[in-house]
Amino acid sequence: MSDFEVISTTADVGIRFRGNSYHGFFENAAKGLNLLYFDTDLPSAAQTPATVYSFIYHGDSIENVLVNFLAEAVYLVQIRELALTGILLQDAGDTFIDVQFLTHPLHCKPDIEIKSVTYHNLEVKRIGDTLSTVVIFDI
Amino acid sequence: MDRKDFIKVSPYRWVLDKTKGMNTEAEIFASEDILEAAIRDQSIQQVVNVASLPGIASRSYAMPDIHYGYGFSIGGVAAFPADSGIVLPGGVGYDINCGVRLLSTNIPAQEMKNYSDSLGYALLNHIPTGVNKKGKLNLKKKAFLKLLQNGAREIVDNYSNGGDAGQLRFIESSGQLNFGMPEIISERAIERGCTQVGSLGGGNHFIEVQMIEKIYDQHAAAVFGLKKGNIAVMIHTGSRGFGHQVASDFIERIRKKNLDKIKVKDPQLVYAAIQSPLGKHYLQALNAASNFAWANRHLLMQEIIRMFEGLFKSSAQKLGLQLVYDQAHNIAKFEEHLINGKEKKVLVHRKGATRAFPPGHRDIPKEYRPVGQPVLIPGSMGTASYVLKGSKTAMAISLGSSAHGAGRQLSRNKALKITQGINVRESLKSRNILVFSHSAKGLREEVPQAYKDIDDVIAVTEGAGLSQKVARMVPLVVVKG
Repeated sequence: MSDFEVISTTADVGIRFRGNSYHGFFENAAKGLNLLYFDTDLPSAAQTPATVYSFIYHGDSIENVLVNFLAEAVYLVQIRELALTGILLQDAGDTFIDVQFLTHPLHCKPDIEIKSVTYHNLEVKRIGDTLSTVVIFDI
Repeated sequence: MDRKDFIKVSPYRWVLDKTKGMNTEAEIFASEDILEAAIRDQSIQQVVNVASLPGIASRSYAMPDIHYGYGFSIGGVAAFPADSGIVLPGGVGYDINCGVRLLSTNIPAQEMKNYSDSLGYALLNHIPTGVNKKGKLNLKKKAFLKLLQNGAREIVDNYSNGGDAGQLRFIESSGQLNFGMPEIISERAIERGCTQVGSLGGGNHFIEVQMIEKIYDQHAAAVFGLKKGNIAVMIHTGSRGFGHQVASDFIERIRKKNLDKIKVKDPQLVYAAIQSPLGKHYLQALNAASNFAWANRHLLMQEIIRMFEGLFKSSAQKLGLQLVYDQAHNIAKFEEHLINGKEKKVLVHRKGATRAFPPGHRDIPKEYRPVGQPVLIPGSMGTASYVLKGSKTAMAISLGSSAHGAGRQLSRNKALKITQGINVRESLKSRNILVFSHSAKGLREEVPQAYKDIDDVIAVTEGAGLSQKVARMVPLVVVKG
């Protein structure tokens, strides 16, 4: 399995991803979301400096943190019309995240409109240091 | 679970008795094929999960277009006592008050030949369609909150060419539910909503110009203003990013509030007591999102009317452009129903299901009381849509509910695979259906084969007694979101 991929259910779509650390996990979540939106990985660093959006969230579980992380990413792409070009994880754990989204202006429209990030069958699995999961989006 | 676990009550009614964990029976309105498909895709399990919720006042129902959803299945219906029951955002859906609006005209279909192309392009270019498109209106917060209060009436009262107030009674709940708590709406929801009023959205949302191909019930069709061979216009859209955000916000809030207290089989089935502050807040937010959707569809309708007037160089009145009905298919509303032989006020959740009230019901326009409420069931792109009428049977067996559409049977990936190398637009054009969309990929994802057969769904809907066919329409011009 690659570190992130798009999956398709009958009605909606999702992303399957994993990481060997919290940074890898959340970065691959962002990459998976980008793949879903634009059929491409996070773009390589643009020539202009990125606009940084800080996001800090305290939740009750890693699933809760993940849903809110992805919801913030969706907001930046769909509402602020920004392309995600990277993340800088300041700190993260099972119940919190402190991250900076690196963004640039969007140059093309996303392929889909995500209504919401769902908790549908959401469970983050751990094998050793590796975290993996599948997140389904209502589109 | 398999077919033999069900008791076949009648050709299209299947009951699953209370088993361990269930508080009521599950009842599915389906053919054998639809039932088998629902067992396979596990939407039946979702109906069972709903039947296991505390205090459920009715059976847990599933309409003939049942398929897998989040929390409730799509096509799921259930009621809880208004005074002591629960409310679930997962019983409504993220697209709060996604619904359908139908207009009739006195324009014969053959007159459309000269206008179809122009109309299609005009709709595509003039109506904001597609992903994240800004709407016709970009409102400041104060004006937006007023729209959330007033619903469709806000468009009538405060926007030029907002239409006639007399049309409002042909909208379910007159296009407005009570909303008086603006403070419970998040700033993010407001931000998402205030730029999207008057937008269609993407995915399976559409505007269709249809020909009324067949009339099954002449009397009801005449009452609804439908004439064989004439044009009708159907709009399918909902509460856009505003409703999605409201739903997400409250799933999160209800989840957090009840984290240690409530164990649900599915986290998308989190619930709050209707009479709790959180339950009341969600219901208020639901009403706000519902009002947004009605205002949205009302504004889109006015825009479409203006386009017809421009194209035909005639007035809406002369063209016979009339609102037939507007109904929600993702909503929760307080209604009176017979529960265990007693009239009871309940909160009816309909997720991918429509209301189908019978003749004489006080909540339908007086003009329609002799025949029953119009039930609008669109097919998928390129297939037929139907108008039916509500029935007494539906009140007796399904909380006055009916199906809402065809339901997907293929994932988007599969739809893309089977349409590889196929020009969907040309394929539909060869069938005299003009399709307009900003996304060729989107069209492939929405091909008719990706959806269940609407004629089958309608046959089961009528066969089960949920509603009765009045008219069948076929698409001529389709504008996809």
